[in-house]
Amino acid sequence: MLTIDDLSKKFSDFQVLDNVNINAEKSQIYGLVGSNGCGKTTTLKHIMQIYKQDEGYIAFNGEEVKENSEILKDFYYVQDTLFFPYQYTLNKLFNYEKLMYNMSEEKFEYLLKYFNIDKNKVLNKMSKGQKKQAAFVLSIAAGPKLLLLDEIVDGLDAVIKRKFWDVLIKEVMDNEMTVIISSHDLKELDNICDKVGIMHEGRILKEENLEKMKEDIKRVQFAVEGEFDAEQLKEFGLLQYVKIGSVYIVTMTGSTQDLEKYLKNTHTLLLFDKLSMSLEEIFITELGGVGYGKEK
Amino acid sequence: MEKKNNFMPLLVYSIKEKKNWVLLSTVIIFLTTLLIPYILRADEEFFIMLGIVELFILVFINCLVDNSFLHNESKLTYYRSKPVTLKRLIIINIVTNVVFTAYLLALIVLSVVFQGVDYEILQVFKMLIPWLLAIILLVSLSSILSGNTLMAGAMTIFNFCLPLIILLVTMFIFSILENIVRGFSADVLIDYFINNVYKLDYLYFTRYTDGSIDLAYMLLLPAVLILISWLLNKFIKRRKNENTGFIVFDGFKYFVAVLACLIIPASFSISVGKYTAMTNRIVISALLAVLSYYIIIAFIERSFRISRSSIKVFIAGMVVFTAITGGTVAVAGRYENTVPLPEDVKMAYVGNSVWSANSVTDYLEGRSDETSSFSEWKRNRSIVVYEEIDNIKLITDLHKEVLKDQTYYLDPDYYGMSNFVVAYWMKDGTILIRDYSLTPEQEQRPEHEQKNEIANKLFNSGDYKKQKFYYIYDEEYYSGRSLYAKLINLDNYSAAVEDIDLDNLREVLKKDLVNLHFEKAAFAELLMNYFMHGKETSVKEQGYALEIYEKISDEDINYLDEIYLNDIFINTLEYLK
Repeated sequence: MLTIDDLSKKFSDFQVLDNVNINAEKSQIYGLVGSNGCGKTTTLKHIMQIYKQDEGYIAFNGEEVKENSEILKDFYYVQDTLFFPYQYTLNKLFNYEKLMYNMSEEKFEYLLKYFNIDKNKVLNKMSKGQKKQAAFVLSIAAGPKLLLLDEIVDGLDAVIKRKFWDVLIKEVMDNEMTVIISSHDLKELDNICDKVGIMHEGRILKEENLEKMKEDIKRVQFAVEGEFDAEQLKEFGLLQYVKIGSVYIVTMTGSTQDLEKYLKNTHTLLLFDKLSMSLEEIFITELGGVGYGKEK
Repeated sequence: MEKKNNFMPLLVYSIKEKKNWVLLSTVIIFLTTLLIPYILRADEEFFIMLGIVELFILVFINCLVDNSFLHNESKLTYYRSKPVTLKRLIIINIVTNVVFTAYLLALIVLSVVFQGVDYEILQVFKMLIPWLLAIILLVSLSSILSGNTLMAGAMTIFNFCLPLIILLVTMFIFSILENIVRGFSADVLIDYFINNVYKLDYLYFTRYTDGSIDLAYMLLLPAVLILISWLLNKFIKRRKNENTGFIVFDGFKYFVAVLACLIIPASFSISVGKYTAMTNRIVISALLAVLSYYIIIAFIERSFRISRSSIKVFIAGMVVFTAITGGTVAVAGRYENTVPLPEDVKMAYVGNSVWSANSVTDYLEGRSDETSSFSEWKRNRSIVVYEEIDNIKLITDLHKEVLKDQTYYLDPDYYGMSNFVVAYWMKDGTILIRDYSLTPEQEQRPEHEQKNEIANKLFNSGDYKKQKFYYIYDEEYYSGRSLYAKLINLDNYSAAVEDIDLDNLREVLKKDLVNLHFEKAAFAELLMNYFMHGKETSVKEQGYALEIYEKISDEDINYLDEIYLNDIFINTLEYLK
């Protein structure tokens, strides 16, 4: 289990991370989502101890993660801006990483076939998508206990993305791997994450199991006869609402049954439907709550 | 999943990865140290030295390239995300480069053997190996300190030259001191500082290029390497990888900026010497320091806006510099009027040359390569050193006169030197050298009379005559030599009379020199290093000079001195007519 408590970091005078708290369980895929420049990559680099925190505590399976600690050998990080040593082929890089990890040759060969990658091609001559696949193959072949993937599916086509998730889910299930994925592609994470942390301006706004998060934040559409004052919705945990024609679309945290009952009692209810919410919609709602994307 | 100890496999891998560099270097060294001199039939030693220079460049570039991962975010993230500590990555680079350097050195040795060059050239390895080891460590240290590979290269040079920069700043302090404290010479102080306190020849191992390795070498080399390694370890632990910019550590950035901003004013102050007014020097130096600091900080921080903290550091740096300079001046000021007791002095020098006084010290302290006796050494350099107690007393009296009054009489027609240098080599082994800048005056005053009187007495001393006119007065020198003189007509520089046996001329010359009196020009003559310049007009009147030489064989002639026959040499001129 990965635990991050009150992680804070300043770059010069700029507060990059502000009391970040993350809890990712064993065999869990944790989605770290957030606005651009909110501190997702910085958080991942702190987990790897590439950056040193000003304050805060990071632990994995109860052991504190510090620079040079043995536990880091169980972590594998695939960064957003990939780097491969000059003139290295995937095979050569695999042999280099074999000196540091117990790389599985069998898994490596299997994944090469699965993704159809030429292991003897110079990595820097590969396309962006091929490079991502190569880096992903190495990370899986290394068999880490904690895998950190930074924008791993960015720029990949739908087929490859599906392959990625299939491999990842299998690894999580077979090897009890914990995975932290940071991504902008919220639709993709919606299908795969067990838990989500929403970041904004260096803080975790919300961290919850995805299903629970979807249960907590609801969306309904309704129409009533005559005038309706949206202020009345505040007692139902109103997050936001829009009025399209005579139909109100409301995002809220309170009980939808109570709202329906209230509307029936106070108005002539013409329409009342519960709508499903995607992670992306939850994300926009959460960030909208702190004013992000609402600037005039 | 992890491997516990991956140091050796990674090291072997890293060394194997050097194969392209090894091939390239082999070709370069082979071409320049073997093939080109063979084709050209040229001086092999030159090409071996060229090979050594190439070796330096290759090692320097290799170290920079290997540590460049520290200066690229994605590279650094890749390597730092692997289960290898930064310290271990740096150590692997260092060991790999040491192995690579050893290979290149072996290539140079092979070239020396194949070329049949004198093995003496390999003596330079005693300096070369410490330099290369220091550079390998310093590149790593500078790469850790810097956020950019080019800056890491520049910082390596800065760090390597740091002892020299400190020396330059010390010279700057001494150059200020010599303007404030009368009689103190920056040249003398720096000479003493280098020879007795700040032994750069040890630190840079330059003294071992033609000497054997001693205990100091065996202790100093590991000490230097341990110091750099210790700093490297400290900074590896403290490095914040998120920092970008040319220099990662603020402390080091300011250290570089403050020291570097003193280089230009120091160079200016030293080059203009003490003849520029003190106030002007201080004002110009301060302005240059401010400007240099601003440019350096603007460059390092890549901004024309200087931060408040940079200004504070500069002010603090200048306060420290002023305090050190002030302290040095205060200490030196206590000895401003010190004149030793004659009985404590073993030898004394008076003249105009700090260089002469320093070289006597070098000879006495064994720093000169000369194997000749002290008398012969002085003769070869025309240096007069007084050893008789009466003469030493005269010199201390003259010194006191100069402390009382810093002017002297100089005939308007004559060119005069204004430096009065006095040096005492004390019986207890200490040395006192003073250098005064005197003001020539064209009107004789009572203060000048006393100086002239003492100078005239020194000219007639046995010490002076035996050293200045050794071919006449030094019996030990004179016996068994074939000494001759040649009369030169100064109108056309032709020989009027040749091969005059000095045996015949010696007594006549002695008669002329028995009472060597320069009257009111005596002190000026002393400052002219006894060239008898003051009698120039009378030389022109007489029109002759006497060239003294030793005839070793018919072909081999050793010229000893040239005496301009002025009106002092009446008897000699009469004799030669």
